[in-house]
Amino acid sequence: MNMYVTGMGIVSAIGMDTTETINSILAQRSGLGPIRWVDTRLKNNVVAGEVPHDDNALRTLAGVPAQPLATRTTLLGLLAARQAINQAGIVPADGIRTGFISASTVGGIVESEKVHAEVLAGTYPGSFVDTNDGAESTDYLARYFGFTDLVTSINTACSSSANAIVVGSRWIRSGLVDRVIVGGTDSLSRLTINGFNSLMLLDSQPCRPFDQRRQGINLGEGAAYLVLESEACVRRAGKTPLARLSGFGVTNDAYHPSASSPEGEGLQGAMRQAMSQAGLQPSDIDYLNTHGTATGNNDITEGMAIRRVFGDAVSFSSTKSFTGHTLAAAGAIEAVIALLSLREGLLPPNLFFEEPIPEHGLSPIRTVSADRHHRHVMSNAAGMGGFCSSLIFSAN
Amino acid sequence: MKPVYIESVAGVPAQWTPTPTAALFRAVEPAYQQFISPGESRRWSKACRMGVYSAMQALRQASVTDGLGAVTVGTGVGGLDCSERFQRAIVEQQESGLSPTLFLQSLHSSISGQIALSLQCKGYNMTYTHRGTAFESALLDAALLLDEDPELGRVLVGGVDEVAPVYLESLRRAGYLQQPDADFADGIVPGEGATFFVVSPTATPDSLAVVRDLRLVHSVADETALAQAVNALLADHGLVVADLDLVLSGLCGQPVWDRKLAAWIGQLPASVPSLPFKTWCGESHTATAFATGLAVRFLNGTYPEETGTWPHPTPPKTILIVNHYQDANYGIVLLTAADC
Repeated sequence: MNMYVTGMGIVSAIGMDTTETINSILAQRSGLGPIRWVDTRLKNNVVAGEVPHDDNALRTLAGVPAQPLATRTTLLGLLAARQAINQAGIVPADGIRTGFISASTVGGIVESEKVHAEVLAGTYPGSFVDTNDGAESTDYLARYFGFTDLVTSINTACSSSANAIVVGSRWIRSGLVDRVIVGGTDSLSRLTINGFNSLMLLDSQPCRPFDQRRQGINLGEGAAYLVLESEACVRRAGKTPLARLSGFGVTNDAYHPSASSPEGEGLQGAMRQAMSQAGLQPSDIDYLNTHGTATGNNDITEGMAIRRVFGDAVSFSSTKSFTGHTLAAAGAIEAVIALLSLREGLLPPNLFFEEPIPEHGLSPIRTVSADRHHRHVMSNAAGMGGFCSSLIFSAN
Repeated sequence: MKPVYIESVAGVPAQWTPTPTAALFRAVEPAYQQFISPGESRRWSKACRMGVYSAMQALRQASVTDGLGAVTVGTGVGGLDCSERFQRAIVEQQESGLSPTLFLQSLHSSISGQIALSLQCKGYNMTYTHRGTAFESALLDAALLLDEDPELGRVLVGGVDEVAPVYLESLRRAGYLQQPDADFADGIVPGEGATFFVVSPTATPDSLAVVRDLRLVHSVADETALAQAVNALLADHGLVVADLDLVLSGLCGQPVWDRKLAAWIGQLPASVPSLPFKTWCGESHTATAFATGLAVRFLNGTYPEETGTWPHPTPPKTILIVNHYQDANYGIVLLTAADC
């Protein structure tokens, strides 16, 4: 069954919509920089990819009241989901069965952590019990947009929203729903900065994915959503889809809680499954948007996996050098960037790359080009706990 | 949805436990040594320990030695206590010298990830975290996986949640908890625990029950809308409410949230008994996993002592679970006996 993308929305450090995102990529302008919005003692030790608006500005852009509380995570999600919904021309309650899957790891903790000392001391008057989890943004957005048919949240760490896309397409394929809005949202938070800092995985300079001297991750924030529709749904409405979701693969590396196996077996499996489902050969993939976190472990193991699957014949980059690592939103943000590359004939560059990793010797795209004719693009995502996912989007 | 056959059930139960400020259903943790080393037990979150233990027990009971096709897990709050301890350390240690283990164990996905690692299951692996329908989402996914590819064989599906101090205090401050000296209808009693299942696409001689269908419904307008959702599900299987032998209801004890479900139960025919299953597990995001395990016991005539005596000579054949979480997320699961 063909599965079509009819809408997409994106908010990240490099733009508040698809146009701004394309322009930043064309200008090779990274969104990484000093932390402005998060109150953390590590502010001067790390670089991050923050969305360039404070909470009030986001609330104004979203056009929602101060109460009930829309967390920063929710606001980012709302802004991205609305773009996707508008582009697909979805009218609420039009009788078409609609699924909604949203992913978040930080969720509403971004709000409670601002007063956590008071919460612990028992002096904070309120309670965050209804907004402190990763599903708060899903529930808020489901109510806001009026999705009631089938709603859920996924959290598989840094592959969460890639999996939201996978599960949404399977809901359509099974006939449970006719269309889905799928993606994820995460805010930069003191919690995740400290979490990745405790793992010694953060770079104090702009990250250098796939570079021999890479030092680690820059965290980012943002949100992205796709609208996927069944072929019948697209035909009925007479829509021209943006692209096709032609394949996906989901595996678990089952190697280590926080590291990938030496040859990236999990990702190899996910990429191969996705190509097999799409009926494609490695040589058919015109662009690969990698997970590319710039950690020592990811970029060597993902690179080895790429070598095993593609030999040396694939154009790839990590756009985390633009956006930072947006955790649960990363899979969807990078799916949208892959879709933009498919639509616009773009090869997004991998910024800050100088020297290849000797073990696999792979060099990513270094300079942007916008004159390609892509037919198939792939996007990888991986998460702590061994979660590996790969998506393929194809021109109609 | 195509039916899936439950081949085994294993879990960690909870026991009603009073504390100075509130009662809760505290998990009765087993001796883990059989499956989990003492070092792992210490490092892992309670949710992770309970999840891995239940997963391994379920696999053993179903005699799955290899060829587990996939793992799907639902958890509302994941490794909550580790998350709280990590966040406390951020404040108290002023963002220095923090334990990466606490951070890793706080991730919701650490449970199904650890199950994959411990079982060396390299197939599909998913963690659902949507509050009151996290387990239902995982069960639905398992059913879809087996429908897409029956060759997958067996899928492990489970629900697990734990309670931690800051969360409990937040529930208290929000006014959600049952007062220590009040009756059941004044607020919730939080619960923890784990229930895992091995499910198969076809019946086997060892099948314990059949999950015929399930629905997740977001934001039910009123009891009529709830009745419509239930009736639609039953109609898909040629059933009406009067055909049910038992309803397991997710009344939580908070009257405002329970209103629609209580009204629907009030309209059940006198011949259809209903039991409020949270009386035995408390309120948690994945309480439906407990209810599903309870339904399997009823269908097999092994009635739990605490639920009282089953008044009929033969066990129930058809059970409907109707659960809700804060009147926002509704889950409906239809189960029948394995020989139906």
